Amino acid sequence: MTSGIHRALALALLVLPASAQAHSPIEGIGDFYNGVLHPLIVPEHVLTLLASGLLLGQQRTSVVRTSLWTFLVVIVAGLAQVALNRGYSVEAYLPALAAIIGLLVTFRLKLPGAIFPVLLALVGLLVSTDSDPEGLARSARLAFLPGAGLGMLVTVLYASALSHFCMRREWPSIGVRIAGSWVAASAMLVLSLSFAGVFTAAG
Amino acid sequence: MKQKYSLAAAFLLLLIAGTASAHDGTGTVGGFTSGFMHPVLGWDHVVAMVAVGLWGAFLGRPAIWILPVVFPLVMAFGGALGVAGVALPAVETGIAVSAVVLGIMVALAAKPPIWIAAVIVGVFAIFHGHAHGTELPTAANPFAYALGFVIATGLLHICGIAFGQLIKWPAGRVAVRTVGGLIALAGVAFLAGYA
Repeated sequence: MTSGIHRALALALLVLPASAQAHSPIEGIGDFYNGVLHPLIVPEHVLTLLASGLLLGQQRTSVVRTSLWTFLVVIVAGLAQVALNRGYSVEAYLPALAAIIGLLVTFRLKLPGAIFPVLLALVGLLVSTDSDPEGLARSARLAFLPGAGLGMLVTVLYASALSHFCMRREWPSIGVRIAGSWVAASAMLVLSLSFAGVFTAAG
Repeated sequence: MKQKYSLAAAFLLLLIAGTASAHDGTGTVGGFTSGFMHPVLGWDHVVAMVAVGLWGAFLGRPAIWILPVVFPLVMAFGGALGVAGVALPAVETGIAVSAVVLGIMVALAAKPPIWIAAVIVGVFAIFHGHAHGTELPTAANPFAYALGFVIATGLLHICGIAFGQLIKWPAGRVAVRTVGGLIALAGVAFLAGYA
């Protein structure tokens, strides 16, 4: 009887759909929400962050812990710098970093544990520095930037958790390596576009 | 009986769902969509990528997972050549030949040493990548475009691998080899200009 009522309620809720508002119209929360979404809607950011998370999930717990704390500290510092001064466009460097991290995920090389906090620090620094919300008033920036930091952290956390879960199983662990190769391949193509522009200008 | 009514109701509700217009087709989304559709809308790409997955199933481990891992990287090299404007002779012919050769490999259930299979697949990956890469500079968002066609290619491989699992059964083996033969014929049709 209880499951029947639950089903009936579920069906009733399904017939009452409202329009899906993609962005919040509420003042203040809109800027913070925009900040949370920002790393997810910039392809260079989301791929670098996802690849970083996948890479972390392939490592042992102590490395993950150190790397995540390093990442958190660096993004807070980076975003604080953006809030006080301004950001810098580092889009040219992100594909290179994404390619390197994607390759590391793909080939699962045995590397010293100290490398991973350094990589995560670099990712945090570049992505946070590239997260300057141009054209926003000061109060809006101060709402946007913490949101961006949260978005970055959550992306890396979820990706590392997913990767860690998959590494315990044969085929899902291969899936993680395939995802790494996709990230690396996409990033290398974008890098080639950057270099092609250089060669064209020189020639 | 109750489960059937619930499923029927759910299905009916799905039919009356409206469109969710959350994003327009420009910028990042447009770039990803056009990149994703580029291999999917080209039958020569589709059949060759599925054939790679089918052949991987015949080759068994570790080829069954090495091919979808390494192929995108080699394809990216071909794409980089296309982006840089390095001319590759007879790209479309190379893509059609890839369908013929890979289809024949599947039809014959060929099991060469893995390094030979990797070289064959790698050479063709360069042709496919070059064809995608030449479109990259004009894409709305190059990163999203590149990610789109890399993912689409990988998913086609996975389709081939999934279908290739049928080789565990005798009838499935015949079915997969038949599909390989059809892919080879399709490649001949592409070469002859009939498709």
